[in-house]
Amino acid sequence: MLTMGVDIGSATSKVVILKDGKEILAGVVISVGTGTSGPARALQQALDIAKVEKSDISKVVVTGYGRMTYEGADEQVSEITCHAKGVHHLVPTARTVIDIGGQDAKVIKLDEHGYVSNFVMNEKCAAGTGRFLEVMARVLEVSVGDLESLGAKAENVVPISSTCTVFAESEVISQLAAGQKSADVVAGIHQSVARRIAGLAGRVGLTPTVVMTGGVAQNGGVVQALEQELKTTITVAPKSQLTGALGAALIAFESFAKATDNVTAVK
Amino acid sequence: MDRVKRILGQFENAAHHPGQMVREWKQETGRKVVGCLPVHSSGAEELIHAAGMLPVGLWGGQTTISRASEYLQAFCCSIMKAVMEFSLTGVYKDLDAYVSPNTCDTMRCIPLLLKETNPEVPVIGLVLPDNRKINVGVDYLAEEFKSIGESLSEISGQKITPDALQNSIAVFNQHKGLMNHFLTLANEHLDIITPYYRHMVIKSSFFMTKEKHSEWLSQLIDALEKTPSYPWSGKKVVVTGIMMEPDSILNMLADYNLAVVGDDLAQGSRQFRTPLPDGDDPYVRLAQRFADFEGCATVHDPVKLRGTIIKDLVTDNQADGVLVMMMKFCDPEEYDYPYIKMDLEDSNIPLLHVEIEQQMDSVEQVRTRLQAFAEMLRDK
Repeated sequence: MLTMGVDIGSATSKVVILKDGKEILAGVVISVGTGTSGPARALQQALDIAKVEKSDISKVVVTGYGRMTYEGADEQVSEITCHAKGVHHLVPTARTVIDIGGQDAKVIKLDEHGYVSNFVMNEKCAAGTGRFLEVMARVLEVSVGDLESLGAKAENVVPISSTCTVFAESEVISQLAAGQKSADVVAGIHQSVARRIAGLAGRVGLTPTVVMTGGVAQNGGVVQALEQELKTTITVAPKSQLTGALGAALIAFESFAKATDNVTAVK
Repeated sequence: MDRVKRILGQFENAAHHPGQMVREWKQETGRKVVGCLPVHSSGAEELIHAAGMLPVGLWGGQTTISRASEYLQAFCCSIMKAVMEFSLTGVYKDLDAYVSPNTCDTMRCIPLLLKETNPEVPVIGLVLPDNRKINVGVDYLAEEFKSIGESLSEISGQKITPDALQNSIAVFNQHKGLMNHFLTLANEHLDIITPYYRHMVIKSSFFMTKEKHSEWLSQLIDALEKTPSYPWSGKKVVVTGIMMEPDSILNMLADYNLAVVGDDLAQGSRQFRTPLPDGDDPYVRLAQRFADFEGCATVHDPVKLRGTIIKDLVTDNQADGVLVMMMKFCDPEEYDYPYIKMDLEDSNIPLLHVEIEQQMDSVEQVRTRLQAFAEMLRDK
């Protein structure tokens, strides 16, 4: 049985095609999100990679910021539930998930069965999210993907104290104008994100294993800063950008299997 | 069912058209209207009634904040910003006076701002005591109500007599009883009394006479009692906070099969869950009610009973979780939150903290939180 998870974020579109709730046949990330061609392109690429037709998919679950307007799914589920499901599948020992996406950040507590027992999200503010890093990268004239390597060259951390993204942008410009090295400023930016997330994490509490997902998890500089801030080891989820879509595909599988009462047959 | 829906439509119309309700009342009676600011104008409302005027709740509303920013800082709550905006833009033009309690730091400045911006409309400050439970606190508040009563008598031209005030207290007590009866009954009809309509019934009470609202409530209760109970299969929540608006959030609860079975909202049950006690001195009765009241962030409570009150609401109404609707920048509520969180977590009651503002153009982040909470309760 094939199921599909579609995760439409503010910055990226992700699709996972899953076979029998276990084997990932395709996982695609397109770097544009809701309101763009991203979801359709991700869908087509995933079908091409898996060499299947849309009609072969038994059930589609959509999640993410664009879930409410996506018409190609059988069901929509919140990204919090989907990330929890995806992470539990990849790292069964996970009890805390830190997900930093394009415009929101979440800390999710899981029980031993992988169900959400508590969660917090950032308020409507881009601080501590992927968008924050994008804005800072633009000021520094580097790509977001280069922030990690640039930050690794830091000799001193230049603290960025402003929480607001707009003010932080001004602060970074001021620091650069004052002659601070880009690498040191990047380290400060990573620390700023980490401190913001640490504040969120403190509200639900951290229980190991702590797993990080979302696009920002690919930036080792942020992960390292978070480890220092939270004083814990963080496991970056395999396919960190795809965990939401994977969770959606898993939910689609369980839901379809339950509805058709063929769980035992598949196992 | 049709009768219930028709009556609910009356409440909905009243809740959505406060200005029209006020104008109609003034035309019908030729009497005056006094705007009552949150949270605890109770006591003053009975006095306004006894003086032959209509107390109207001023709890802000959905508007675009522009001129209010001239007077209120960015960190003031959206309710007071909306109140100032309405005051400055003529929305409150039919009000003949204001009663403004010292609810919080922002509201301590509101009487002065209202006087500054609308000098022709009298503003009566209501200074509620922190030490409300000791005798001297009750004595003080009784005197405060007497003083406010004299000001209101002057405004209305009708002297408040002890008998008139006792009668007003009886009207308000009857209304409180009916509201509580309705909310108990509502839990047997969660298919009809959705979170939105539950709110409409409560909110409309701020814009009409208690007699009229009681009449409508009696009709609604009668209609509900003749309607078969509905076995609700979704999840049930208790809500706490200052208020639960805008309406889109209420409708979201229904989208995710969440029913509100109890509330500890300042705009909701906190207004009517504590009756006025018996007594010969009506002013002492008004003051004693404030002393008897428990569980509000804006009222001094060294024992921190609010968590227990919410837990009891959860237990009594078999709720699955609690929604804490945190009005942005409401520091009294923010200070209460850690105690509530601790109390609920100690009892393994799931809770969700949702930050809200009255003027929310985008509620999608709230949607994600509510949906995830509903999914969490379902999977629990």
